[in-house]
Amino acid sequence: MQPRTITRIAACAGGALAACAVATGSASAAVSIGGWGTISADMGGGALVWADAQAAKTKTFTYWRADAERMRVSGNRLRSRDEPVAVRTSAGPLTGTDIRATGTARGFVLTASGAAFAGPVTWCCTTEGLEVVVSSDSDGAAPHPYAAGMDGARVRWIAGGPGGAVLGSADPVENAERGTSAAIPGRPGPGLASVAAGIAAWGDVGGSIVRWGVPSDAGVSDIRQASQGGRVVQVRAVPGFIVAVVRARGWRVTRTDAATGAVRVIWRGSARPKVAAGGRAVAIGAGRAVLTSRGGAARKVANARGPIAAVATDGSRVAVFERVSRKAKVKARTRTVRTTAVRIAGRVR
Amino acid sequence: MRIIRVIAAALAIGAGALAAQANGAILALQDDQLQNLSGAPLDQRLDILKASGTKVTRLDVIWRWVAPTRPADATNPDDPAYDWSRYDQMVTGLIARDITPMFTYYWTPEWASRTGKPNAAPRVADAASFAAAIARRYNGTHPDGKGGTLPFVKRIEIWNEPNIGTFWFPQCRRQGGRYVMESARQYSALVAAAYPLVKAASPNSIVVGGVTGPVGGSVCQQANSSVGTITFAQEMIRQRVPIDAWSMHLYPIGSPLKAYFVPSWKTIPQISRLVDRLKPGAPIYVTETGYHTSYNRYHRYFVSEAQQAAWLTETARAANRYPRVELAVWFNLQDNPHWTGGLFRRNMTPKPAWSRFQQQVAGAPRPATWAP
Repeated sequence: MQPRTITRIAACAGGALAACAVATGSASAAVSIGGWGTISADMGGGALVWADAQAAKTKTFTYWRADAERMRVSGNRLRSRDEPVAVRTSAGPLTGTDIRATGTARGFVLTASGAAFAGPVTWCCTTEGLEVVVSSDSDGAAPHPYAAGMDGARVRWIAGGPGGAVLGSADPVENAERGTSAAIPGRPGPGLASVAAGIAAWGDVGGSIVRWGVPSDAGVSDIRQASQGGRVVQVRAVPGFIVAVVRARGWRVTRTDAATGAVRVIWRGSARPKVAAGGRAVAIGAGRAVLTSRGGAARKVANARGPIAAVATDGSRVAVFERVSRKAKVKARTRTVRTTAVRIAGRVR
Repeated sequence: MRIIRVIAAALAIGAGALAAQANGAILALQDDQLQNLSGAPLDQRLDILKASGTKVTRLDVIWRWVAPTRPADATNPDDPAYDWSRYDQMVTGLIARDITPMFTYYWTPEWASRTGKPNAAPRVADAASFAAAIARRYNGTHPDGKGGTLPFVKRIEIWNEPNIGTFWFPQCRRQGGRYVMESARQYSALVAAAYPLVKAASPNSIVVGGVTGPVGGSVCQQANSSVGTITFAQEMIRQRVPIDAWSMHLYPIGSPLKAYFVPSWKTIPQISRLVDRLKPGAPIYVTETGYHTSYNRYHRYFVSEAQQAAWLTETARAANRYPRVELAVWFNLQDNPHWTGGLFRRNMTPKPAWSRFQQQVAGAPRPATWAP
């Protein structure tokens, strides 16, 4: 297989200059990802990490791939790109990924989910730069992991299956092979789970509540729940609060305070938004608008020059993944080449 | 409808077995835990291998375990520095179960390693002498210490995946501001030195070269850049390396009959043309192949357990398409944390591929040239 082409492209190009003048301000030059895959992203510890899941079509068959990449964020510049984790499978389509920055050494935890199989949870990386697989089970009855995160020295993940939901835990450095698993209530599904330091949050498939609590090897304690006023389709937790994307007469983004349980709507719109949370901030990608919130109503900080595939924030900066297409000559024929441009779009306001 | 499907599946399996018989490609199985066992546990494990129906297997000879200290006469297997006890039991146990073993040796002992690490590129003379010691001990005439003789092990692979930094380091060295390929040249020197020594110790032995892993390219970018099978073979051709057979490993992305990445089953003809330039008509052994059923960092492509079983059958069919391919070894018997391509899960419960393997090899004859 050929490695992905790593190219830097100008943030503003061609006829999009006018839009870009508003959009970028002090924004960084963009980095390009091939294709329009399903992106998940996070920022933390001076790193931007992302995972890109898409079908890989060959001449004779299709398989699925999820690539986890990372870059150092220096000011508003992105540097030192590498791809320490690459999941490949023919077991079935990857339904998406969840990636969380660990906050140290550009590390991350990746969950690659499949509809028909229990996808892997991997932690990146050892001092030698090697990933550690903390969960990957070929048993068809194994719970499917939906999201994972770092909680102290342990990777914890939320998984679900016919036997119910579980919280898995493992120490990736000391003993990744001896993980624990404890039952938790509810019926989480893809996108409906999130784990961060000291907090695990999840919703039920088709449900309107978000649950959260304190994760440990024994499960999740001090579980609380709050109604979100509509069908919850995505949950993202960070220490202190939970962000949810809710379908209710249009779309809403809610922010639930983990200590008080107070739910506040911080954005409303007509199309499903992309959301991220980091530090004390929430980032929202809605259409081509990039918005942020520190607790109040979200405010626009930048425009993207293509549909937004994902956003990420570390609490002070916002990264945006925007889908772009351009004409290019491929084997003497002009074709439309689809790429996803990644850049630091601005600062949280 | 279900009955029709079952009958169709049975016919397909039967057709696969018949094809194997017709073309003679052997589907075999390796158990990489054998060298970690001795005594009764080893016998139990050998019984499981026997139950698989395999008639051939591949044994890893860990050089640094057999020779923890430097032998005074490295070509003499009776040098007191050598400890063959576990291999004597393994080989004897396999022959008693009518399973033909072939050897692959690797992991440089500390005394022969420039870095102390097992993957350090060995000194040619040391590694070639060890090949001679293996050949002499298992040439069919060496006393077993119990009044009999040790069995003859005909085939010896020189090293394992010498084109990958995990097993041979460095692959490339810095020269004038860029990296140049080193491993293929050094490996060629090793095979060239080992070949006459092995033949002198055991004239009927078959020296197997290549043993390439299925990754790598044609350009060195760093010291541990893997070198692609074709590039590796081309360098061996340039060095005019003597071999009796070529071996390589295939872990295709996609089904055996559809995958076309190099190397894969579809690119066997391309490899054959290169092998012909080393030794015209030399047989090709695929000494590792398989499919993982969960993700691990050593092999990032995985399939479902049902696909693994189906593609095991396709692997046999793919091997039978190419008359030059004499052997395809499924790697591995059982999953471990680093390798999940086993026919058994880690808890020793069988995957669907276990019974598929048994069906596939049942009734398939072993060619006379592969008799123990």
